[in-house]
Amino acid sequence: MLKPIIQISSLSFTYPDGTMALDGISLDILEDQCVGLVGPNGAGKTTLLLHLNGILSGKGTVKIDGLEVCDKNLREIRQKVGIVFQDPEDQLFSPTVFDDVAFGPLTMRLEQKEVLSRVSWALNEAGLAGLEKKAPHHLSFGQKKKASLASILSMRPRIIALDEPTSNMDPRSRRRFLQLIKALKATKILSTHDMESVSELCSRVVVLDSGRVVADGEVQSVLSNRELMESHGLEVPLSLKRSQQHPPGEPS
Amino acid sequence: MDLFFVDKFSSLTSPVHKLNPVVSLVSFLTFVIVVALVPVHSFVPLLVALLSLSCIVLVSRVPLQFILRRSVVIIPFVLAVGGLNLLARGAELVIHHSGLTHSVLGSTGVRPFLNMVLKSFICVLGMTLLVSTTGSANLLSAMRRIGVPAGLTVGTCFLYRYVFVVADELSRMKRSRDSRRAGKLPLAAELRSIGTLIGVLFIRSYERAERVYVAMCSRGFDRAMVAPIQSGTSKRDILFPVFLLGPLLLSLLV
Repeated sequence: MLKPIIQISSLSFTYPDGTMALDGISLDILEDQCVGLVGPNGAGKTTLLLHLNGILSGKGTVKIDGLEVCDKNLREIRQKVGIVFQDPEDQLFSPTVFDDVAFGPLTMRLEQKEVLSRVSWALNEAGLAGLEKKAPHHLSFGQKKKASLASILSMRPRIIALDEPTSNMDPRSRRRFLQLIKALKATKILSTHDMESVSELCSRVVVLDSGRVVADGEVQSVLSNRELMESHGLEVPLSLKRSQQHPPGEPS
Repeated sequence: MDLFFVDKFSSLTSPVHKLNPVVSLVSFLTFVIVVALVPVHSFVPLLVALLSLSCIVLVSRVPLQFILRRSVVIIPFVLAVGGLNLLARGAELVIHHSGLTHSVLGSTGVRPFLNMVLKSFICVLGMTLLVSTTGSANLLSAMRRIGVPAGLTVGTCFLYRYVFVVADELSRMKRSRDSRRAGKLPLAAELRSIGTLIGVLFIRSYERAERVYVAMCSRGFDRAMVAPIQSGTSKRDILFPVFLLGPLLLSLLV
C-alpha cells in the first residue's frame, strides 16, 4: 500500500496584511500520485505549495516523507520538493541554462562530476540538450518553461509541484510540456486553472476556495460536478462535458 | 529593447573562443596593465600591441567593424581629457615648409597626448575582444575563480541576467503609455508620468527580486556562495598569453 509522502494537518496561514490564505487545511498525498490543485484566483493554491518546501510557515504541520517541515530540516526538504514557478523569469536567474540547472546540485554540495551528469540528464529529460550555453533571455517561452523544469529535475526531487504549468503557452508548447510532465517519475502536484490538463494527467483533484478544501476526490467525479465547479469559480473541462453529453458507446 | 549586442559573437567557435575563461581574463587584464605602463614617449610597444590584437581579431572571426565600433566609443572621452592635457602643457604645433615634421611630434604635449589616445584605444579594444570572445557568463565565472569578491560578481551576474527583463518591462510600460496618449502633455505632466513609470518599474523589480529569492531558496540556496564549475585547460591556454604578451614585453625591453 502506498504511503503518504505529503501530510498536511490543520494548516492555516495569514499574510502580514491580514489576508487569511489558508484555513485549517488537512490533506494527505500518496507517493507517485498526480494531484491537481484547482481553485479560483486567491484560493490559496500557491500559498499551499510554498508551505511544502518551507518558504512559508503557517500554523499546523506539514510533513514531507515523514520529515516535518521546519528550519532544521529545510535543507533535506528542499532536496525532496521541487517547485516550478509560474513565471520562468523568476525561476531562471543565472546567466546561462547550464548555470541554472547546475544551481540546485551545486547547493547540494555534490561533486563536480555528479553535477555535470545531473545537468546533462535533466536537460535531456526536458528536451533541451544542446542549449546549455544559451542565456535565458535568448530562449522562447516554451524553452524557458522546460529550462525551469530542468532546473528542478537536476535535484532529483521526489515531489514536483508545478504552479500554473501551462499558462501563456501556445497549444503545441502546452501539449509537449504536458507530455514531459506525464513522463516524470515523481509525486506531482499541478496547481492550475487548466482543467483539461488536470483531466489529462491527474488521478485526483483537490478543489480549494478561500483557503479551504471544498472537494477532494477522483478527477472524473469532481470535475464533472458542474454545480461544484461553477460555485467555486471553475468550469467542467470540455472533454468531460462532451463525454457527459455523449457517453461512450452512444452515437454522437 | 535590443541589448543583445553584449554577447552577440561570444558563441563563435574560434580558437580564441575556446580558451579557458580564466586564462583569457588574466591574459587580457595583464595586457591592459602592461600597455598602460608603456612610457609616455614610446610608440613601438603600442604598435606591437596593436598588431598582436589585430591578429587575435582575425583569428577570432569577430567582425572587425563590430570590434572597432565598440572600441572607438572611448575616443571622445580621451580627446576631451587629452585635449585639456595638451592645452595645460602648452603644446606647440610647428609645421615646417617640408610638411608635418619631427618638430610637431617632438612638442611637449602632443606626444603624450597621442600616446594616451593610442593606449586607451588599445586597452578598450582588448577588453572588447575579451568580452566578445569569452561571453559575459564565462567572464563572471572566471572573475569569481580569480578571487573577485562573490558579492561583486554575483551582483553583476544578476544585473546581466535581469537587465534584459527590466528593459523589456520598461519597453512594455512605455508602449502602454504611448498607446493611450492622444496628444502632447504639458511638460510638468509629462515629467510626472515618466516619474511614475520609473517608480512603478522600481516596485515591480523589487517584487521580482523577492520572487527570485524565493526561487533560489527553493533550490537550496543558503547564502553560501558555491564555487562555479571548473573548465579544463589545453595547449592553447599556454600559447595564448605567450603570443599576446611576449612581443609586447620584448618590445619594452629592447
